[in-house]
Amino acid sequence: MNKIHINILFITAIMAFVGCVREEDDIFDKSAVERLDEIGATYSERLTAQGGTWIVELYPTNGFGFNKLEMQEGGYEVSMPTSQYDGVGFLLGLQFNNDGTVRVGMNNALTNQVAYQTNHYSFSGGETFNSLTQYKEMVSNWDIITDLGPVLSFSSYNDLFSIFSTPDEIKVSLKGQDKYSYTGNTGTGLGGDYEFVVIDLGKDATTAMLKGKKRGTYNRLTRLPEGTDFDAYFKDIDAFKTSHSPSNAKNDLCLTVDGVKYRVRGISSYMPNVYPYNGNAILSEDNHSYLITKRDGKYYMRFRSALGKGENKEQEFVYDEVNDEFHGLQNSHNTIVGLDPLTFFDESFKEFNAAQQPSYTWRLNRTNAMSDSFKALYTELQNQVKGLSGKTGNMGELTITSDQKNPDVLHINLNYSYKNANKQTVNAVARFDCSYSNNGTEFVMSDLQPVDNSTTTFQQSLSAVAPFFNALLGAHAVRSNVTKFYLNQLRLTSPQDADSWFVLECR
Amino acid sequence: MLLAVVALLTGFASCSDDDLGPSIFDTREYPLDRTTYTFPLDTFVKVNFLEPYNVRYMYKMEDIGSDMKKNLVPARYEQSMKLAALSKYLWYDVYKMYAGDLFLKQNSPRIIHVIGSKSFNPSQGTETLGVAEGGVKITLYGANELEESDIAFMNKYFFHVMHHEFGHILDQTKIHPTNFNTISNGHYNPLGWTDTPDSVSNGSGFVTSYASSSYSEDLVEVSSTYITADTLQWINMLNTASYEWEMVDTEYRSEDEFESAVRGAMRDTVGYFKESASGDCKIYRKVCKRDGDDHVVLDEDGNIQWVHDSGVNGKEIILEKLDIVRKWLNDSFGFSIDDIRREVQQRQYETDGKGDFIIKDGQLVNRLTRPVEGTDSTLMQKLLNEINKYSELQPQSHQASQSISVPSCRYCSMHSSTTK
Repeated sequence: MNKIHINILFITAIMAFVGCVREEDDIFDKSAVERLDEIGATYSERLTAQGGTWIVELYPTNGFGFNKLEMQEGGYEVSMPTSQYDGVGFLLGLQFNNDGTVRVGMNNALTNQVAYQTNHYSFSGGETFNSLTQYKEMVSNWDIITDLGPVLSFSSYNDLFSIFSTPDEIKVSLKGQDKYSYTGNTGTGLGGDYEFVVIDLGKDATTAMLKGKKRGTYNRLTRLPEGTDFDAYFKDIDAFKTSHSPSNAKNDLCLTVDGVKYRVRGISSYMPNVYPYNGNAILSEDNHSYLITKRDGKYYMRFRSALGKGENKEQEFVYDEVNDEFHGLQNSHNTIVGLDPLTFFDESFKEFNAAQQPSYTWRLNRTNAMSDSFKALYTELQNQVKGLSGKTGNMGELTITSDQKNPDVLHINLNYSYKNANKQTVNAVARFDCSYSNNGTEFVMSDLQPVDNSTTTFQQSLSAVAPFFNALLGAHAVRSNVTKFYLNQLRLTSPQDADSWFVLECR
Repeated sequence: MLLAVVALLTGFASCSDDDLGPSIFDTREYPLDRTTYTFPLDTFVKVNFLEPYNVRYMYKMEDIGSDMKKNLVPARYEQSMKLAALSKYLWYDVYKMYAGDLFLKQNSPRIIHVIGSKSFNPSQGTETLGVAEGGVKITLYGANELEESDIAFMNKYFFHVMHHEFGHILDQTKIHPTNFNTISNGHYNPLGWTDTPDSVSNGSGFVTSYASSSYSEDLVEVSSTYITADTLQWINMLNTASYEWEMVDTEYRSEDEFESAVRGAMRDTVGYFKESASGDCKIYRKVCKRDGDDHVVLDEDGNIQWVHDSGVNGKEIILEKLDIVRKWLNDSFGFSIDDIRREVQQRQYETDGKGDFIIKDGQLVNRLTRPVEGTDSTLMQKLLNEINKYSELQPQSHQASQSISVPSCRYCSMHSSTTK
């Protein structure tokens, strides 16, 4: 019994001493909630700092424009657009204010839709989509919430920002046309997020990443100078895009990453195709969306994902105004520039459409730029044509095309007209063929031959024909006439005489 | 004795001043920030929902509190203001008046989550109007389309839903009489209700098609429809329910095609067009005597001979269900559903000096959009003033510093549904 008492006493004493064990220092001096709140406050402060003005490169969804569905019957494949904007990026201006409001600015194909949908526009009195202003601004609320770490929430509906996440079908106006189309489906809409996990927003950060909570897309925030006029900013970007990648540009661009060349087709579209330089554009199709931004006076082209293979990829390029090309930020030897003009000109004669017609027609008329010496030859020919048929002649456009059936031959047609004895206008064409080649540095046209008797007569009766065509044909260096990115106008210069040149235009 | 002393000492040892550190839970008071744009609404919901009933009115939508599988957007701030003001006026204040504060404190949902967009179910061709979760949370969709000038729409998307979901909460608290479940036993159609028009469901004894999906939905549809349907709607519904209805095949492939073909015809016998989610087209119509060629057979006086041979009288069934609901709410919760209904209706529609509803052009007169007697303000504006008054507490520099929302626009017209 006594032993039992001793044991109990012993155990009890141990328990009592346990209470005297020195208390551990607090490792965490604040609760999880307090610390999350502090992070929220810190991030709010950083977002609103320096005027709180940012541009966001927003990629609402992960798609790539089309979902390819294989038809069960018939065995052929069709492309079903989930939305014409699936996977496409958008630029939005954001100004975060201390009172919990955010001013959102946007100018793109969805802007007019915003006006239509949210204000319940009904057209009357000649109002059209195009009569509405393209640029729009809307103010709503923002918060930093802390459910999955710091999360930026556009917490009340914003006519601009919420258009990407509304489940409604979206009506989109077509720029330059009084029409609209639908995109997205009822129930899903464009499928974007309105809450974003904030990643890497350091003190005095000029950039930060936002990760969409549902879609997981990465969207970059870039700080803009306080008081930036979003409308002017977008117009600046648009002007740059129009000059460097106009929608009517016929040429591909050339991307070089880590010494490997790729072609970039459809840069003016939302999602150009980046495929191996000597590959097939369809079989090797690889679409990449991108956005152009401007900071510190420079234009940046940033793709949604890095381009290239292996470890040495490149995602963002900065425009070098002096050399008229983009250089990689990580490796300045990585470039994006228009295709080599000589290569493009040569290849343009080897492409044909489904109807076996040439894809490209190069044109020369009196409005094209040309050197004085070439102009003299052109004008002389023009004058001689005018003298035809009692001085009723008129020289029109000269065209150069190729022929799928005779791949080594170019067709050069000189259009002209005159009035016959009945004073009726007769349209005529002097038709010549010539051979052509690309010697790596120059494009060579030679061996001019009249195609028909009337052309022979034309050639023999006008003394200015021979010297003009002598200058037109022969070897020429080829370079862009506007920018390296826009090869619809090419300048052909004689290697023997730098003052002898003319511009061909492809429309 | 010794043991007792030791135990006592041990006990004292446990009384040492341990610092347990901060709680891992959020136990702080949140003073509202007067510099924020949303201070007036934040204050309104705190004063009117949080403090008296412990209800959190979540108008800043959080994805994590919604259906993450769906694409949804937050409500506009102005729409959240309207919905908050109307929720107090048409819901909380009514229950407070007839069921009491304690009832609301005990039974009110703890969270009202407001979503701006509709909640579509694309694969079913339906949309979810609201959700009640575990008796503590009600989610309301489509707040961006709330429009006080259209009370029918407002009730369908919000107050019918709120009463419906609140009914579920009450049902989960004090279960309803089981004899309710047997009234339409065998007639519930949990999968096919979406393809059944309301009229056909009425004729089978359901106030709505959704009521025919299960007895628990039936119960709360009865209460929510009774409270929110105006007098004319309720009478029309009962009248529809007093007929037998049938669905027959049709060669018409679209509603437009059908409508242009039957324009001017007597619709009760010709019927109405219904296309199911799967694209199956049907005509639904009242059952009457017909010949072998499906032509209506009139009686000697030239009247249509309505057929009632199914043994089901939809109107009687609905009224029977309403009686059970009336008794259940009265016995279990101590309030009269008729009082609630009358009060809700009178708050929505104009009444004359006798308390009767004013009918103009065949419609009840909307009270929310009419000026309050002796003022230039409408009732809706007056309700919103209850929120806007808190802006006076804000620093001068933060009052109306910039306006949220859609700029005023001369193109404004009636809202339209975004569904196609």
